[in-house]
Amino acid sequence: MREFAQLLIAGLSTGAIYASLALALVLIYQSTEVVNFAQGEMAMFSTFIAWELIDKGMPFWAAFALTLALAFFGGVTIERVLIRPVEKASVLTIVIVTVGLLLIFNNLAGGIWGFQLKTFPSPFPSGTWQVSGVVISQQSVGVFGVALLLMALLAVFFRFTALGLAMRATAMNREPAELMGIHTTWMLALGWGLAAVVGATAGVLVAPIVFLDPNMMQGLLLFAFAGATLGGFESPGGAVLGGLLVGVAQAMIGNYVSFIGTDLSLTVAMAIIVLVLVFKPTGLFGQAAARRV
Amino acid sequence: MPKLEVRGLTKRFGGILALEDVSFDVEEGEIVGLIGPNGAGKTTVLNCISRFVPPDHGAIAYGQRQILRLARHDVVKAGIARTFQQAELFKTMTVLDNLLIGLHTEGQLGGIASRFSVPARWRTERRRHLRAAEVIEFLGLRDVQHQVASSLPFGLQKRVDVARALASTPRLILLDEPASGLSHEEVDELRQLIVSMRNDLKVTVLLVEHHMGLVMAASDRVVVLDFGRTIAEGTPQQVQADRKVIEAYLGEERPAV
Repeated sequence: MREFAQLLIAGLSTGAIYASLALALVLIYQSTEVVNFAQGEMAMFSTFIAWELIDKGMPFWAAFALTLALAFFGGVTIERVLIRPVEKASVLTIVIVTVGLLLIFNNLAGGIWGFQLKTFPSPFPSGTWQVSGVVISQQSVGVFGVALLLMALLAVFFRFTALGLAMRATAMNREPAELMGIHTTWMLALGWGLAAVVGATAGVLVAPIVFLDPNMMQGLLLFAFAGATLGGFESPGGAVLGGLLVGVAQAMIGNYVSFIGTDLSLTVAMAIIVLVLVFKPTGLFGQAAARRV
Repeated sequence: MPKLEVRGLTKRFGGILALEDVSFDVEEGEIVGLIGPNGAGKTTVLNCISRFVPPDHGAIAYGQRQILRLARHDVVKAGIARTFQQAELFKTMTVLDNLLIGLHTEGQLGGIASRFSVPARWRTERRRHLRAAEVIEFLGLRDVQHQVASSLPFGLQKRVDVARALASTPRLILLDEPASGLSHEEVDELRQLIVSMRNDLKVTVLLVEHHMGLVMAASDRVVVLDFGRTIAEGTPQQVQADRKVIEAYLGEERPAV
């Protein structure tokens, strides 16, 4: 039981990171129906910027805030400059653009900062708490807390502000939204900006654990895909829950199924994606797309 | 007094001439029916006015404004709102949220100060909610205002679509087949609603409709399109007696052999 609780906590903590990335994917997919393969690399690049700022002597949280602001403008700019021109092109074209972005960010980061692993400072104390025999690392509680706080803020934004409402309207039914006076093209760009912020948060939170290098997010992005697929690409809440579930599943399966261990954990992510697509392609919370033809 | 003036509207989709030199006016305070057989180009006219479709030639003026120079999201600011054949609601949102989106432009005219001042934002939010409550009351949607739009029967969804358009306090409303999919009683309610929009809310109405009973009962004037051209214009009585209109609807009369 103690072991189970321990694994659950560890799973929720990594799950929170998958959930953030999955949410970033869904924010973009919902509004533009683009699966942004560069999401992980955008997050990685933001994390390098945070590292650079901290390295130059900026306090952690100040660097974090500045990084999020830069990530936001970066996301908006990418949408306006690179995605807008191909917006009406085929899905394949847009996929190629995002894969191109993935390579560009990866190589850019490698070129600027090199490919060797870097340590990234953690904002959280390295101590542990003992709750009735279960060891809880303050690091994992911190990661979980920050990720959840961000997602809660986003939920409030989308639910209770006029701008959030306008963004949801744009994602749901673009032409009428435009007729209500909403600048839908800006709403889409804003969606990319917010997704970049959520991704950057995931990057900064995970960097102290996995170390910083240009390839750090690639595995994580697969788990995020698994989370988003599980929850449903159409549902932000579902993606968050899916990400958490994948984190917990990974921790549990890695521990209890001895032949999988940590080496085969990516296989678990792929298995989740395949199983969901075969048995419930819309995910747990997605709705089947119905289109008039 | 803003007046809608459509002049020489022409639109070609590939090889099909959807609109050919269509001209008509809608005076302030009028209810004008725009009718014609399927494929006559009625919805294309609405799509041109609401900037979904750029016409190849022609001009649309509303008061002093040249509509064809406006961006799609600025049409509502000119005082023109529209509804859709298929309601096109924001499906997973509540009725109230749909109306609040219809009020998106409300309070945006305050400039920079209102964007950054929190009390100004609260006042705007409050105004939006008050206005939404008014429209909900006017259309009798109070009991369903917190329900998700897609859970409502189609007739009610179309009513919400009208409410969403009215929320922005338009001076001209374009109704795209509001009666399609409605039951007999609902069509009668709709007729009263259209008349009351004009009489009580002072909204000018351009009504695209197949339901002849509704058009003839509600309209002051009727414009008839056939194959993208205006073939008749006049009071409901004049139009109903027009030979070209009868031919368009019933097919050309052939001389008896």
